Amino acid sequence: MTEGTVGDQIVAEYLDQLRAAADVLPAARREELVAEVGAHLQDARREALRDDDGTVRTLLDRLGPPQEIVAAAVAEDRTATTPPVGSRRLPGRDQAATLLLPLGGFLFLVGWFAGVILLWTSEHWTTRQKVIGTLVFPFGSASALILGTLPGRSTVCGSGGEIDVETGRNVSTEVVCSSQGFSLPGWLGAVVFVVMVFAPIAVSIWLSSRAHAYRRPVPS
Amino acid sequence: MQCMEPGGANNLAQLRRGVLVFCVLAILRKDERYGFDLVRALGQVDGLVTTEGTIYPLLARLRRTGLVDTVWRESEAGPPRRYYRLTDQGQRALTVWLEDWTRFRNGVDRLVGAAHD
Repeated sequence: MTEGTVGDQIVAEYLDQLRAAADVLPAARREELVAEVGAHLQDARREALRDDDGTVRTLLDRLGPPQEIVAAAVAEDRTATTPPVGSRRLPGRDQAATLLLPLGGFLFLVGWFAGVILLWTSEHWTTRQKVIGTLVFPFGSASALILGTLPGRSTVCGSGGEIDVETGRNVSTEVVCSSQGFSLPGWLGAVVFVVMVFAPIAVSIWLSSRAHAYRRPVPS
Repeated sequence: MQCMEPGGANNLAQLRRGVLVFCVLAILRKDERYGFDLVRALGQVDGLVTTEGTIYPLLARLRRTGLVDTVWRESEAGPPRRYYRLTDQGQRALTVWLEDWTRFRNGVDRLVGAAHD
């Protein structure tokens, strides 16, 4: 299409409408749809006897309104992961994500990052679910241990700091201790620890169940 | 279970939706097709495809669920085309469906035929 005919303009407008309507789809899905419909129109026009705007409009009528195509795409999305024949188990990579998110932090923390990548590249969770899966909690159950190594209630002791100029030695006998950081009452610390260990596991179980629910065919 | 109104436009739509997937797989069993070519083949069955554009979301779903895959091939006219091919999994799904369909169709034909006589 080197020159913009009326037919080209009509097609471009149609594809723009399709792209706008397909805003509800994930970006990759939207681009695939627009590319496929665009290729369809190219082939259809090439094989049509004429390429006047009447012919182009007929081709667009047969394709249907962009909203209807997008509605079909949304409906397919709901059934997308329910193959007519096959298992209903969570795909391996999704299973890996639900294991790595709570437990990957123990694999030198790297495992958790792998879990996050698998989570965000999966098509079986919504963005909201992915955000929750990522934020509860970074590094999963290992976050409890990481928190434990932080200076929660640490006591730093040192001497007064009077240094003998000649010997360079500390001559003060007074030992000064100071507490730094925050401290939690024992019971609250235990609660926080338990929450940090188990919340990522609970979220992971929830993600597994949601992905399964997503896979269930929509009754019609 | 909700009964459909006899003669309603919905009847055909419901039937079509269930059958369309396997018509796509059946066409691809013989050879690979690009989108427009596939839509044209489906169009030969009256009433099977009302809005051609909705085939593409269906094809995308079949690809995601592994029943078909795609390959880019050079075309003699214009840019490369994306061809759809049946996978082994798609072949198995089609075989299972064909058995089910034959049994179902024969049962319905017998029942409707008997009621008609």
